[in-house]
Amino acid sequence: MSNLKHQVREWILSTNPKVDGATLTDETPLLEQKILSSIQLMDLILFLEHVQGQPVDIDQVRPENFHSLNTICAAFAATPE
Amino acid sequence: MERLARIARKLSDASVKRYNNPYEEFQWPQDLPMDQWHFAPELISLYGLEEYAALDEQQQKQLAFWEAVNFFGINIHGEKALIGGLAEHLYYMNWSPELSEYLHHFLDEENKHMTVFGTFCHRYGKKVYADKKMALPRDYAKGEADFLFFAKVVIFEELVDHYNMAMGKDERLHPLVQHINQYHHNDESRHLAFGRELSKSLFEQWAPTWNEQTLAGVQAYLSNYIVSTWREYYNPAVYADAGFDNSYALYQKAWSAPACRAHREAVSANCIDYFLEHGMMTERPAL
Repeated sequence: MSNLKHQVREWILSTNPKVDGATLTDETPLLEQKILSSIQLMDLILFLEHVQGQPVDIDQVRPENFHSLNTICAAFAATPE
Repeated sequence: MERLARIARKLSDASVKRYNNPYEEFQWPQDLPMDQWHFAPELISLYGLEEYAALDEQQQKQLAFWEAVNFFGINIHGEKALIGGLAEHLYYMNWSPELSEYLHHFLDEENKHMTVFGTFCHRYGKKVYADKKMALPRDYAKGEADFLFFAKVVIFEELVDHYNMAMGKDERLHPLVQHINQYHHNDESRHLAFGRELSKSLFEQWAPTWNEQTLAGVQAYLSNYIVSTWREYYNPAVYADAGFDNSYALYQKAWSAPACRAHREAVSANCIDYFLEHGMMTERPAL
């Protein structure tokens, strides 16, 4: 698992105590299953900026970027993973 | 809607009477003196934290300047969304003409506010902090989207107006900052009166047709909106610009600090009380 994916996964589990780590896969639909709320997206963007050390280009961010761990990493990895 | 039409007519008259031209009204100095306050210290997002207390006065003023840039940026983004929504509601077929007439003033005034905030941010901060709020697509019952839009107008404007009112008359602040806050408050009091009446009227009209699930969704949506609006007041980029190394940790600490939570609850109380009183919310959000 890539470093960014691991960090985002840990972030999701720490901010959502009800989510079972054993069932959270790279393809789990995070928005559909309401694992991520709109408030958490805002917080997650700040977390991504923090771990990547650079601002996210917010004008290019779309809700579908947060569909799953895989789409998050594809959209936000500073370098291709 | 008859009462609302009467209020809209009065507010339109007031807007005509107080019509202003910010392009002439504001004088913009080349630079701002950084040894002055540009944001009330008690309203700084880190106020009450040991990290804030540990700063010397000049560092506190530096942080206050970036808080001002952030606050004016919050206003820009909020008003940008507002302008889009207001434009969509112009000439609604089943609304009285007085409402559209007032929406024209509302739009005009919001556009002018944005130019003032934008000038401040670009001229002195050389930036507008990005808006990190993200709306997720959802379905709406009939009338729900209209109600939620104007309810959000009330929430957004109630919060910023608390700051505007306090800083518009705060003589510790640089006169330009006082002026911007007072200028904004002068128009916002009308916008708030309109938003409160219209959101109540829309709720009374549509809520009886909504099922339990929709009503619960309204409560959740408004609670989330209040929380995410407040989140923007705590900006790691502000703390980094003010010279803090640990800006993200500070953001997390400030958000969960009891003193900061108490501040959010106090500032939001009027607005939430209004929603609770009229049944538009059923419980206080966890701030």
